[in-house]
Amino acid sequence: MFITNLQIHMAVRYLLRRRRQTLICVLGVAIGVAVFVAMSAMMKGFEVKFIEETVEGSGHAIIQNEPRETVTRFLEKSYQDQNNLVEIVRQKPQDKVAKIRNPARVVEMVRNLPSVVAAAPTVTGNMVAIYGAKQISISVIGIEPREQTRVTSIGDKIVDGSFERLYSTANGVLLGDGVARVIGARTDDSVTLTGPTGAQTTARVVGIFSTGVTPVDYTRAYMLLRDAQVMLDKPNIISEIVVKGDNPDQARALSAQIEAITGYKTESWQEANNNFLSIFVIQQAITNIICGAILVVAAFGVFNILTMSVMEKIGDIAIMRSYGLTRMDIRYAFLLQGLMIGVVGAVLGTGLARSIIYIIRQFKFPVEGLVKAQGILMHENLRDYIVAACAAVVITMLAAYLPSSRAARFNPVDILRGRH
Amino acid sequence: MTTPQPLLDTPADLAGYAWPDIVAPGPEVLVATRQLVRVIGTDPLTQQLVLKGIDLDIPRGQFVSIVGASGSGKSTLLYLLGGLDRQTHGEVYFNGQSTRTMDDGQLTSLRNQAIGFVFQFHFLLAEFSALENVCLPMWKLGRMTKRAARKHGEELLGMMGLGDKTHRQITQLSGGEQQRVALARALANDPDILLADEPTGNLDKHNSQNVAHIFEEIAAQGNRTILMVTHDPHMAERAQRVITLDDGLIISDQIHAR
Repeated sequence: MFITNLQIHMAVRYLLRRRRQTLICVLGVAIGVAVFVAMSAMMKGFEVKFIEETVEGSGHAIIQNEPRETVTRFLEKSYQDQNNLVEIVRQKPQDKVAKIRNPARVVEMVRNLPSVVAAAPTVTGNMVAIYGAKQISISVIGIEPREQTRVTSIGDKIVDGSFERLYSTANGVLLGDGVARVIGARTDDSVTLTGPTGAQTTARVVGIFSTGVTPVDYTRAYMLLRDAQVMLDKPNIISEIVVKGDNPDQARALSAQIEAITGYKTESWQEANNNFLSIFVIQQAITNIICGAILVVAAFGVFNILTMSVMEKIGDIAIMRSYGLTRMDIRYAFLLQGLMIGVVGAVLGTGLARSIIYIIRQFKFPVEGLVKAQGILMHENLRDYIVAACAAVVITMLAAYLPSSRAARFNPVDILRGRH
Repeated sequence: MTTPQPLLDTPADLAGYAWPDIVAPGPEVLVATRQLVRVIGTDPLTQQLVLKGIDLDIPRGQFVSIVGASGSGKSTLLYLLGGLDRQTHGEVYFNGQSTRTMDDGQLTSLRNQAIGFVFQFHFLLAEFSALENVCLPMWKLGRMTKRAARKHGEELLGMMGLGDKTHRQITQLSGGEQQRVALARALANDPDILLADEPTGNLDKHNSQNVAHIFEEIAAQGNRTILMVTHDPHMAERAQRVITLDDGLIISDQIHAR
């Protein structure tokens, strides 16, 4: 069944006749679309920034110093019946340092994988940084700077000092700008670092970095690999290998592949940040619910107005049926009103969304939450525009369906006899 | 043009009623009914037998009035003849063809092409101008271009004395003018028959006379059948033939000498 010019003509005239009500309906739909797109852009803005900074700053996957599968203990192997009560007495704790065995070979194996761009060995551990009367607990990563710049963008994140000075300065340390701010240290200042064994040493701040990810900038520091190994009392130990693949979205698959060949637990960036990613999913769901509710309210408006219109036009429907308009003509004349409100609302809404996004981008102010930014980050996405516009059109069409079906079902004789 | 003996009295009488064979109308007849019965309502306790077996032949070009008291079945008969309603029993013939077998789409098409309706209330679409209201049936039929339809609509409105008000909105016209627009709309597709249900029932005396005069003019052209339901005896007298209904039956069928 094709839509005819007559049906379109009638729908347009009916809408124009009730300009104010039509405008309210269109605005309702437009606001729903605009809020959806703008809120999604806002949520996505922070999400994309977080993911970019995380992926670029921490690598796509990290090979850790522990096997993925739990080792089955000797007694558990011997007494497999679950009803057995096994007690171990006078057990001597095993003094075993967690490390990646033969890290050079592991790095070589990983680098030979076709989807791996680079791999860099690191050692990690916790220390306390003290400057004057202030102190902060930090996570120190010992790196080979040149290797590290191949797997992360840390070299580009230096906001003060120099990354290369790690090589030339004994006990040089790069501090996250959050760490530096908390203890009040600046480049070339000397800070005291206390390792896990209690050993203290003085390190010189060779630079300050800012990744933009608040949890990283407030907890992390970089040192030369060998300095960190000494400080952490982990001589010649590699605790993690940072890997960069050719596609960050394929990091899960890459991690599984690395695990399979090395036997070490390998965490993709998605797995490592699963809690944050879950929050983003929940945020998006909340956005969808709020915007869906706005669109549903707008749809109720369309439903009400069209239902009233059908009742107002009941005499018109009878006469139109008498001079030859089909039930389909009547149905489409009302259905098209819903479609037009939906389409015009969607178009206006997308325009409104672009304007809102543009205006929000003009406001620059420091934002420091999960990520740091100047102003509210907005990430426009064509998909959001399409989803919002299609949802608006579909919802208004659904809202128009019942009134239009009712209009089409009327028996003209019943109307003429006043039985409606 | 005769009615069967009034054996039907209630809807229950329909069951097992012995109807004689139906004889189809001749070619000179435009619309006809045979044994036409209409029961209104579905609840056996409240349903009404509105038409009790009407046999009626209306030749082409005749101007017919149907009169009768309220509830006698005049409007029901008109709606059945115009294909707006479905009979409970019997046949309605249009141009010799039974409408019983026509589906909703065919009946709608028949109304669009061959039947013009005028009602007591004009039911003009307030969103459209007078001319557009007249053009709507033509646009639906799609036999002529939009421009030709507009030209024809202007001619019809001119015939109704509304040549200078073609672009007026409906709300800017008086009751009499609105009814004349409705009459022009009924004539838009050059129908074979004009069915009018109390066309002057909502008008003052002056406007009633105007509308009645137009009906006479249309009848005088001789090529269009008019079937008019009216309460107004003066309107009824203008017709060539006056059929009187009472309690769902034709009780009188008179042809006036003119």
